[in-house]
Amino acid sequence: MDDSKKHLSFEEKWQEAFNDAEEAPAAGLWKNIESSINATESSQYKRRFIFYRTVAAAAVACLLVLGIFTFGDRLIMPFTGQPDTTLADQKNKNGANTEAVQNNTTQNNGQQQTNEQSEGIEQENSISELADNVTPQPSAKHSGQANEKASAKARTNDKALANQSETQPTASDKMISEPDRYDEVKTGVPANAPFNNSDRSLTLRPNSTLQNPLYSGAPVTLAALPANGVEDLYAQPIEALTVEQQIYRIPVVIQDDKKTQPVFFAGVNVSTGYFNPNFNSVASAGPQANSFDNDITNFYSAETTKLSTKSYYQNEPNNYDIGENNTAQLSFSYGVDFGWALSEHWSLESGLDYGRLQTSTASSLAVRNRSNQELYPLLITNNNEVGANSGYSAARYTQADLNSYFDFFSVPLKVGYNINFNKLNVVFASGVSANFFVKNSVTDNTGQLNALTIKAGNGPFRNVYYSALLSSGVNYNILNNYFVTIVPTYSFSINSLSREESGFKSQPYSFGVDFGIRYIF
Amino acid sequence: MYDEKELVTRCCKGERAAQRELYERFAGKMLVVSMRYSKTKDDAEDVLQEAFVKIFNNLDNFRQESSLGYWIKRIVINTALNYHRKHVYLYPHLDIEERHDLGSDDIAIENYYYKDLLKLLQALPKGCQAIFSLYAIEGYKHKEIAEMLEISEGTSKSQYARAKLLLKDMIIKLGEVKHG
Repeated sequence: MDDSKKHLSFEEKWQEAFNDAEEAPAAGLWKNIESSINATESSQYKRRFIFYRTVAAAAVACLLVLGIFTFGDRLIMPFTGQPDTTLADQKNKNGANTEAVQNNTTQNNGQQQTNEQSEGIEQENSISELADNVTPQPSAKHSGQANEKASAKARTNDKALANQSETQPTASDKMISEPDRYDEVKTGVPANAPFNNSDRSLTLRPNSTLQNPLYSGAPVTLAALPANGVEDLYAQPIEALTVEQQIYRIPVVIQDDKKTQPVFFAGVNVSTGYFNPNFNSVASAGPQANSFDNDITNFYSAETTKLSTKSYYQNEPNNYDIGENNTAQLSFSYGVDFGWALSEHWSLESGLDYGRLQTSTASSLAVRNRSNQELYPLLITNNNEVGANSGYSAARYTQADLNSYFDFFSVPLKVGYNINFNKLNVVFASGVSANFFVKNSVTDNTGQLNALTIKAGNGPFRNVYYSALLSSGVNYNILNNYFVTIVPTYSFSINSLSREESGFKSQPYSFGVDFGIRYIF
Repeated sequence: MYDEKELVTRCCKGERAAQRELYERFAGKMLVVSMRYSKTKDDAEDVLQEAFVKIFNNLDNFRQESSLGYWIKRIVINTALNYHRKHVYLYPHLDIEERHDLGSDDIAIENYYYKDLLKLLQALPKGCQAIFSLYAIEGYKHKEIAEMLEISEGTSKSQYARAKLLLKDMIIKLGEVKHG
């Protein structure tokens, strides 16, 4: 016998005996472990895939909206300035006045040569330039003899185009779509149409008799009209001009009856974002802030003195800390929304959302239910409950990451201010949300602990807490009455999610992006 | 053959070859650890499998404050204790009269191979087996054992004393058989 071993204690002899002991595991054990790891990893990859897919979808949606916003104007031209004599199209809209215009058009075509001769070259140049100015084509700013030839040619081209368009729409006509907020008056601009520079309104009449105005009064928008009116451009009163009969599309802002009445809209949405329950210590009682672990920020702890006096904590010189550091994880919520466009700019929105908001936390403490010997996580949220119950005792286990899910029903109420850009609508909104607590579920990925579930009405959480909402986003009209919405939203609690007697405060905040589809009724 | 730090890093990245190497490096020793808390080798292998899955899933939490072997051993022991706790209610909260002077230090075990000692351990009642292994072989204090098993410190001491008595009897009987 080795003499040195004689002096070993009984325990040391056992330790010595097992010091280098090894036993070969079964051959298939690694395969089993590998398949378990594969299963775990595939679930992790699945969660990552969902995350990246959501981000990719959001990015595509944003790019789409930005692209349409940036390049959409090239496709949607409410005003082209192209001569257009298809007045019959507007017959129903403009009634008898349109017929008068048609008659006038025919009449003026016949008298065109006479008019040109009688009004003079200078005036003719001005009119041609007016036509050029109205069209997107660049033109000379001032009339003059040198421009006569070119202007006459342009006029001739316009007339040829106008004649052609009587039977065949131009390509630019096909590109024209009808914006919601505009109507188009296809009319002939008559000779000597009075232009009121003070209120920037234009009276369009079928002929120069100044009777039976086709359209009169503000608001009238001429897309290509210079800031100071036509008078500045031509350095002479508009009344002095003889306007050649031409047909133009003139966008007119109309007073839509719908804008004076609240318009109802409804839709569905899915929101993705991050939620943090933001647990805080209460200064005078209950959990105390603790610098337990420098690696963990926002760490708060609670003493476990309320745990069963039969637990081993009774003999501990230093009570153990319960830590709950919740890190926001990607979460989703779903819901319906509805509201009213109260005016051109103001809207009121509400809805109903259900959110399953995920956070992660970590703990190395657990409680054991004495009756069934099951282990549950010991957290700041269930400390008081299990501490007051002698049916539980505390236990330690290998520190594990836990998933903590907070389920809420939310009813938001928001007031929005809308700015309209053609088919795009930018909205800034603020409001409040009533958040109805459903449950808090804590699960352990490692399988060491059973799921802990705190339902509404029990535990430290209030049944409802209120939060303030701030959002800004865009609504885009994709088809008829359908809009897609992308609305980043920040919310923060107004009151604490936790009850006063819980010993800690929870003031949640979240940031997310709502994606939705709305229908305007 | 990676050093410990690189092995951990590669395992955290999910490299299967590194994970396999870590398993092969520690599985043999950890199986013996597991067997000290189990009645059969099959049970011990079940525990080992569960423990290694936890190890690989939580390896990124390993802060290298202790040796990797010690960290793995802790997980194997905790897994074994939890595993057997699921099946049997082991640790009643009853304090047994402490018996400090057991006179068992004269029990000679030097001539026994660890497999013989394992058989003796596995023959102990489960509560005694775990407490004896934790105290005598792993080196935990009774207070720490009490925490781990949710029993009083006195219970741990008394169960340990009982285990020593039982082992002494078994070793004596084994010696009688061996030596005729």
